[in-house]
Amino acid sequence: MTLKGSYMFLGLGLTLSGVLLTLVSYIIIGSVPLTALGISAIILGAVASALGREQPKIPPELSAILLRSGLENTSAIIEELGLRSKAIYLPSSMTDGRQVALIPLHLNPEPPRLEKPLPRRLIVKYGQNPRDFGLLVTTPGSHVAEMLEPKPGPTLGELEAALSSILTGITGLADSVRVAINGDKVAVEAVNPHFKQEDFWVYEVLGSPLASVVASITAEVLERPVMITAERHGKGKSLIELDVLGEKA
Amino acid sequence: MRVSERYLLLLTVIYMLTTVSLSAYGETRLDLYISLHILEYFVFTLLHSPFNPRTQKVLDVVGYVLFAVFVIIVTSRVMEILFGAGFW
Repeated sequence: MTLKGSYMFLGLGLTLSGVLLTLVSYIIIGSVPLTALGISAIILGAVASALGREQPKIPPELSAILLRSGLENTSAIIEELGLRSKAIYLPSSMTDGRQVALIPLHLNPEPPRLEKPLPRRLIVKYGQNPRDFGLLVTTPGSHVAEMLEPKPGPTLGELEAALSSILTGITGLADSVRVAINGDKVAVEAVNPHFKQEDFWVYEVLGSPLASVVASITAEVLERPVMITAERHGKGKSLIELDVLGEKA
Repeated sequence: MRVSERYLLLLTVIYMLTTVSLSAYGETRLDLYISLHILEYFVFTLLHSPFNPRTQKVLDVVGYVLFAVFVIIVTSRVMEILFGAGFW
């Protein structure tokens, strides 16, 4: 039985036994505490059934395998090309409608300035300089950013609410999220991240999947390019620091 | 432990504690038990939000039903005070 099925079974069992206990204890036994216990079992049954809808449709192990194989492929391409530049997460308004990350092919001291929206291709030219070429890749956060409905405004409160909704509500990547903005710097603290930290080359460029999701959402909410500058994973929390680049799209 | 598991576990524990404590004090008003359970439901649901949108929809429906029950209980108490007779 899947986890979803277990929750549904638990919910149904609690609801039915709660109804039975309520009727028997109120009508036959005449006990108020037992009746209250039956009612609480009905409420818990409804809650368990609701939580059953939250459980993933595909097994977490399969999701981990798919994510791992995707990351290994991207990592192989990046490693083969010898890319070391930090990826720049672009909002969908700066590309062809999809949130993606730009990896410059050449290391530049200055982050690239985009003058017009980039086409949806793997290799794109993003500036006037002949060396201004980069890879446009889809990241784990790209699809998550599409879940932002309705699109939040570019304020601290709305960014924190969006990150909290995605990280704790939809993906379950962390228990809670705190955000601080200082000028063009954004610091995001994820409490109890549910993600096993592994060592991939691609993490040096794109950041870990948690940081990638955070950067994608931040870029989409602020409508500005974002770069991951630091990632620290401690006991029970992860701190992700981002630089917000350029002008609003 | 995931947020959803903690939510269900804490709700179970608080319901059990409330029922045991009130019955230990010899409380016999069923509406008091139900009102406290409803209040605890709203507090714990809020503390563990946000949930997945699909889950949130069902929890919202549960919340509407419980709020309606709470309104009936309060109305009954008010009528009992004003006119001397409640719904039950």
